[in-house]
Amino acid sequence: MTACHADGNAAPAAQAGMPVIALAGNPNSGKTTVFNLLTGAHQHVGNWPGVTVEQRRGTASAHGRRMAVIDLPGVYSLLGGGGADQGVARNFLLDERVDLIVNIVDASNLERHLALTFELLETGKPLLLALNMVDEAQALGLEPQAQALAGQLGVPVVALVARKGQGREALLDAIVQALQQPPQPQVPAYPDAVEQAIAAVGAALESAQAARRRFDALRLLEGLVVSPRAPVQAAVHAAQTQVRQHTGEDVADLVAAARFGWAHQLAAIALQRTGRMGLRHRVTDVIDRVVLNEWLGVPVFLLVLYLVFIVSFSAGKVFIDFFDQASSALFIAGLGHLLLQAGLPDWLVSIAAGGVGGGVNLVVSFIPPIGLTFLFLAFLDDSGYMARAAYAMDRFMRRLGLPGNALVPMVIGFGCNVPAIMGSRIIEDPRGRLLTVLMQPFMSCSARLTIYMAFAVVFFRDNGGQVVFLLYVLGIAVALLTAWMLGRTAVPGEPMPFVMELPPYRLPSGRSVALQAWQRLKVFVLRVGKVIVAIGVVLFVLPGIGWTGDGLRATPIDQSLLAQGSKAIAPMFAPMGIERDDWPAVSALLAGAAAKEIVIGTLNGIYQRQNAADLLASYRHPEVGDKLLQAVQTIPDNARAFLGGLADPLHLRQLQNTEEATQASGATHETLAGLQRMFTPLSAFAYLVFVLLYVPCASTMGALRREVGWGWMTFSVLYGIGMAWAAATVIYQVGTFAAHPQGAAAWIAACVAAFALLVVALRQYGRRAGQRTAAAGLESLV
Amino acid sequence: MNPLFAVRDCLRAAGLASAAEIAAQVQVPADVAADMLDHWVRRGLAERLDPQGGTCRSGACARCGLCGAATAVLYRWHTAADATPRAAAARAAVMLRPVSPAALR
Repeated sequence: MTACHADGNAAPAAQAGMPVIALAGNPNSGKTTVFNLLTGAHQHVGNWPGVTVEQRRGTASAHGRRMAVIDLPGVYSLLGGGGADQGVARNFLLDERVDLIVNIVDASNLERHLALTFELLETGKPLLLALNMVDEAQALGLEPQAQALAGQLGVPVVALVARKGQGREALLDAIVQALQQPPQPQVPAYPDAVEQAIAAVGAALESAQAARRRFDALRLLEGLVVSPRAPVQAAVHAAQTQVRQHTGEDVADLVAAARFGWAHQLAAIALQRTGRMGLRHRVTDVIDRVVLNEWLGVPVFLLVLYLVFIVSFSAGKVFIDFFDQASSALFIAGLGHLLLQAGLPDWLVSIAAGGVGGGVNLVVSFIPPIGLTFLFLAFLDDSGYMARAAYAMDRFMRRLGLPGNALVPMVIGFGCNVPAIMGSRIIEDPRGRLLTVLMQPFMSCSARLTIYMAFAVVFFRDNGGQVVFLLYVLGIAVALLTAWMLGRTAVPGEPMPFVMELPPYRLPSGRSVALQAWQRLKVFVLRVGKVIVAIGVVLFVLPGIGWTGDGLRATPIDQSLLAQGSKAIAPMFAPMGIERDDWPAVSALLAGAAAKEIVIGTLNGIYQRQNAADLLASYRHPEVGDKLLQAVQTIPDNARAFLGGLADPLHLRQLQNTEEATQASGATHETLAGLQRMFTPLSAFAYLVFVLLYVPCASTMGALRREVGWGWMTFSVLYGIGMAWAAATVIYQVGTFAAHPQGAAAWIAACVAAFALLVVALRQYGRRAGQRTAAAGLESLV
Repeated sequence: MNPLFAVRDCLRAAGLASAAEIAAQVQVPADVAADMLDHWVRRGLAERLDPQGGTCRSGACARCGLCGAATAVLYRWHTAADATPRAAAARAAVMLRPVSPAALR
């Protein structure tokens, strides 16, 4: 066999007179790989549909014969649909001179790909079938029968594994042979009534080419397009009516049925089941036996989640100081210095560098752990595991007598509660839908992750991953408790069964995972960053005014309106460890009711302002170079600590030397340092639990109102605040029990009693109102 | 029986089902079942229920970018009250929008 040579970018003019070979097939069938194989070009290929969006030309030669090879974008149907790229392929195949169509089909997905083959055969153009990815079909336990397929189609069929270069010579041979002696394909036919309709409509059309006329007639009959010419449209209506009268079915359905039926029959002939399960199937089977196991499914999911946070936080920690210190040097000290140099007044420099720069610095600091979390979640998502996690949790839910699919939107809720609440619309049963909606606000969304990370960096630097994991699990537990309690009191009833689809396992492509994680990180940083910066500026200004004996006047921050208001309600938070002097924490909670991102933004604004005088000094002598150097030096130091931590995963060494570990936490940022002054690790954890459970953001409240009405939204908000307060109080009081046993016992007993009262009240409500009334607000949605 | 009509009868009987469930009953690959179900969606006789309720591209959710995970697409057959075949066929010309196969997996 002669070799073909590369000439991937040959101009069309240079190819004049050469036979034209068009590579056609569904997206992701491997056309570009075959193109590279034939022409020796190095076009980019990818394992997802839509890599090729315009036609590419190249030349190949075999047996001394040169030919132009056209790589067309993937197309599902010649009848229509898809973007402009599919239009390019469609128009080329129908209208241009093509000497041979090489139809590339994925053997592991043959039935689906053969639907296009049906249409290509209808064009009447010479065709050759390239059966690509036969190795993947074999892995699924299917043995492609190329000869049997060739016999049925009346065209040559070549088996290929283009990715590995297997079958190249055979394909080139078959192409040359087909050019010399064009194959006579068995053109599949529609039922007689449809063929007559095509002929009748085709006769009314003016298209020059027979293939174009036939496809235009089909598109009109299927109702995909409408002709502007009245006689044509009349012919279409007449033909449609006639087919319906003769067959009882619409012509559009008969046309589609003919294609699907033909592909179904042919695939059954062309693929022989070997009964030998391929490796991939066996691996899927083994993994599923563990991750979907009745008893192991939920623990495995929790373990996976645990590892995600542990690894993200630990590995992220290597870079946290670098991102923090470098961005602080650039965006706070550097920016402040530049602005001072530019002659701006001190107050404006403070706002710009302290408020805006401080906000940017804070967001940038969290990029490493959050980015890694997104990377791992994208990996799990792409691999097919996340669907199984939801499935395992579903079954767990059903065992508790709860709606099986209430946790299906859970994974979505980890990103944002709003789409998770909207996602409950897939649930038919109004009771299940109500319970599902009410569970979602307790899922830790990405905005809450920023707050967790900030606190973890300061208070739980050596076990931040565990703390974040614990908060996630606590959210799930409270969601389950809520649904379980409501399902037995206010909205009693039986859960309805639900079906769920499990995707196959895939080894995720690095590029796709990185791209997905990057998209999420970008959206997250921009969205969170905007809020933190904006609130940082507002709160840099707001705490400057306060109510004095002379009315509203400029005051020090501690006497500002913000401080006065926050201090007034601070005693309500005293049982969870927030003292009157910790008023910035209270301000953050109040502001955080609008959006959780604001919690950290508020703290940032206040702390930056409290330290405005020190910061001004640093703007005058920014020492950006030294600070950047120090920032870089933190990477090897932290990396050594991380590697050391791998050898000591339980952090036993650090437990022996807590003091040193605390000192090593090195919270350099003003906000982080401020947090350290205000909280103890216990009160910080209680605060985080409050943040996790209390009022969802304004958008989530809006979604709740839309989905379940004002009544249940109000319940959800009040219940969330109550649960948050009670849980945070119980945690703090249990942690400080030894210091004041009587007071702590009283607070804990009060919380338990309040919860018991709530349960009794809900039970009364459920009995009185009954399930129908409870779900009345949902009836319009059924 | 032709698999396309078998899928139609199956969904009509079930009322609500996923492509995998229909595929198992009609004995076709799940991707093909999804293509067939999408044919009936285009014809206005069934509808796809997006796990996110189709809301992810609007409002506050547009900024989130974190969805797209674990839930299956479901299909619901329209009852007589939802649509007549004739009305559905009339709608099909404007309704036709190809569904990305990636979204069906």
